[in-house]
Parts: sequence; C-alpha cells; structure tokens
Amino acid sequence: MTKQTLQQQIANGVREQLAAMGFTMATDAPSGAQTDHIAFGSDKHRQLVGLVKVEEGDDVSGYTTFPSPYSDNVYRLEDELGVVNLYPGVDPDKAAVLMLRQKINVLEGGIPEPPANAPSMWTPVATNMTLLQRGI
Amino acid sequence: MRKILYTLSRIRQEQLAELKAPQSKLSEVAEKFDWMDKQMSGISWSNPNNERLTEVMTSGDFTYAIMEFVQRKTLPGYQRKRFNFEPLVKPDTVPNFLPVTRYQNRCGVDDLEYIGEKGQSRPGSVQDGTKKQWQVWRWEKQYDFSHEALFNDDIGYFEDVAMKMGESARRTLEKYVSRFWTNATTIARLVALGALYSTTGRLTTARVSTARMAYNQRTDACSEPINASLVYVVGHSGLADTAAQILNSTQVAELATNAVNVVSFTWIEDPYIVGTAPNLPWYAFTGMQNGIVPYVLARQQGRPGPLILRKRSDMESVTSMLGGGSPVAPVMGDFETGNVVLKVADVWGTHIDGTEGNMVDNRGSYYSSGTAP
Repeated sequence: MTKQTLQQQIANGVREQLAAMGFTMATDAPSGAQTDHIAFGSDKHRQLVGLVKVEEGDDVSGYTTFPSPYSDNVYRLEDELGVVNLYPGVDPDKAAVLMLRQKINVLEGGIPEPPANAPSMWTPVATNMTLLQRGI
Repeated sequence: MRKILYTLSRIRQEQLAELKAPQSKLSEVAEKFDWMDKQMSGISWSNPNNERLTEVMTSGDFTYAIMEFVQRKTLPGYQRKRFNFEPLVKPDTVPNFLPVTRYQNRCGVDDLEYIGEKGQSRPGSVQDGTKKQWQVWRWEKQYDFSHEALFNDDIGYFEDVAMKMGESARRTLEKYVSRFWTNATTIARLVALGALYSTTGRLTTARVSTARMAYNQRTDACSEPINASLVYVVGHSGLADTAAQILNSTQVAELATNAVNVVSFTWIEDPYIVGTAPNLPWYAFTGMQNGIVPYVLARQQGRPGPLILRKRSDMESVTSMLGGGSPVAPVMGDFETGNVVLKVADVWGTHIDGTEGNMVDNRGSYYSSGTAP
C-alpha cells in the first residue's frame, strides 16, 4: 500500500464519519450519475411515450391493440382520447393503429443512430501551420 | 447565282485552253456565258454597257462581322439559402485567442430539515460550479487577381466579388454552427443521455409532444425540476412541409379535450443537416431559456463580423527618381507582379469537448434520427 493510497483511505474515512455526523463538504457538480436517464425500450420509456403493455388476461375490450413488429409484446394507448383529437375526421380505430405504430416503433425500434454521413466534431487540428508547413 | 455562272465560265475556258482550242472558240464561249448571265440577271441584252459580274452581300456571308451581336453583360447570380441560427446559440465575446473560462451554478442548495426542540440545524452544502471553456480561431480565405484581369473587366464581373466574400464568411459560419449539433460526438452524447434527450421517430405531432414532455422533466445538477420547454424545432429542409402541417393542425392528440392545437414551436430550417428521405433528422431546442446555454458562439472583442481586406499597393508614382511620390490606384497591384490581393477574415469559436461534443449544457437539446416511421 502506497502512502498516497493510505492518505486517500484515511481522508475517505474521515469524510464518511463527518457525513454521518451531519457535516458535509462542498463537492463537485455531479457528473457521473445521471438521475434523469431513461433507457430506450425500458418501462420508463414506455410511460414517456404513453403506451400500456397488454399482459395475458388483461381486459382490452374497447381498446385498440397493436402487436410490436420487434417482439411478442402487444400494446394499447394509455390515452385513447388523443386519437380522436388528432384525427377528428378519421375512424378512431384506424387512427389509434397509426398512433400505436408510431409509439411502438420509437419504444422498441432501438437506439437513435447518427446519420451515416454525419460529420465529425470540428477540432482545430494544425490550424497554426503555415501553407509551407502544410505542403501547399 | 452570278458567281456560279462566272465560275462555270472560267472552268469551261480553262478546259478549252487545255484542249488547245483557238482564240475564236474561247471568245465565243465567253460571249455565250455572258449572254446567259445577263438573261438570268434581267439585264437587257440590248444595253449591256456598264454591267459587270458582281456579288450582292447578304447577312449569310458575314458570320462574324454583322451576324454576331456583340453585347456582353453579367446576369445576377443566385440568392443563397440562409440559416437563421441566432436564436439557438448564446453569443459570447472573448478578449483574445486564449481559452476563456465560464462557471455556472447549476444547482440550488440543500433542502431544509426538520429541527426538534432545542435542536441545532445541520450545515448545508453548496455545489461547485460547472466549468466550461471555449476560445476563438481565425477563419480566412485569400484571393489574388491579376492587374490585367481587373483592367480587362469591362462588364463588372468582379464588382460583386467583395460581397460574395462576405457571404462566404456567413455561409461558413452557418455550416460551423450547424455542425454543433449534427456532429457524431454531440449526437452520441445525446443518445447516451437516454430517451429524454433523443428518439428515433420521424417528425410528427406525437413525437413533438413527447419531446415537449421530455423537456418538462429536465432537472438541474441536483436533480431538482427546472423550467425548460421546447421552443424551436430545427430540421432538414425536407421536413418543412411536415412542420407546417403540424403547426397548422387545429387539434392535437395529446390533449384530453378538443382544444385548439397547442403544439406550438418555431420552425427553423437548417439547410446543412444531412439525411436521406424519409429518414430525416430533426432537433428540438430550448433556445436561450432560463439560463440554459445549449451552445455558444464566441467572437473576438472588436470583431463582431467578417472583414474584407485588401493589400495596399506597395508602389508609388514618381516623376523623378529621388523626388516625392504619390500613391497609385489599388488596381495597380503590387510592385513585383501587379497582383491585387484580397482576403476575407473572421474570428469565431465554440466549446469543444470529447464527450459532450459542442454542447455547453445538454439540457437544451433533443435529437431525433428520424428513422422510425
């Protein structure tokens, strides 16, 4: 064990003891843990897009359901009134299918990818070179 | 026709001469051709004086001299598609070319705690500031014109070159700013942040509403809710009609009542977003709202825009070798070659981070790959 490691362990121990007693110190802004992270395809993501997963034995009478093209899951809309409001002149059942398909594609369609020809981030590489140095 | 007859006459006379025909025969043939010419030309045989075989000039005989209308002029060029990015980036001014540092407190302080009778309150803590740095760099392009080219320009072809140079500076800046959010690093960061920062859906009312809900769940660095709302939707040019359709819809799905459409946003077309229909990317931004700085565009103090510069001629006009001189016209160019040199120069920069991309604060951005139907 190096001296530096020992010092670090002692410092951590003291900090924990003080924290237990209510003494906290100013810390860096949180950078690692992201509390509002929602994983793609997760239950939180499903709630975000407004879908309800239909389980075996669920009573779905009166609801429009749609099977996922990506899995064996079946979904219904959390709020079917939205369909009527968006497509007032369209058969609600047909409009519900349209909305369900949109939401399921987002939920189970994987993570977003950058476009194939997305540029790289610009960085000032070699901008301090003269034309002679660049061989131009 | 008369020229043809004249040619036939000459040919026949040459043939007869080769056959050693007598002079009388040659004269007879010449007279016959002359008679034929006059008959066909309407010249009276009885008064054949002062008539000679001549040619009438027609326009067809003058391909260049009178058939080419010599007028040269330049036509106006194209109007460039403009990208109005100003609401999306925070302007900042830096004093020089060194990195500047900005600190932002992205947190409140601790919640209060219940204190019992004769109890003593516990000490609270204050979060450290978030540190971000950016700097500016030089952006330039140089143009050389020969003295002869400028002097020969009698149609004003080069007159708008200076304006075009200024336009190129603006265009370059627009591409630079667009790349803040279209570069792979920024996109990868937004995707890594999860479903509150990115999606796959094509631009629809439902997806804009989902993005708005995502913004409504934005928190500060201490996970406390903050005010953040979707203000701008920025997209590929191919989504202009879709955005108009969404904005002009009278009703909206996500409301439980038949209220008018509240899916309002300001559409900004970014002509530099790449994509292939129907998979067209789009972004939702907050703009400069509630202290959120999604992106920054730094300019140098005293350099708010591009400069168009011309190298002053190093010549002077003199009447004697040792006498005083006077400046010459800029079109004279430099002493050695007569070149006239112009340069357009600007200074700008932004925040660059290997993880965050160009985002100063990721709370102000939302990306969609536009791939999911």
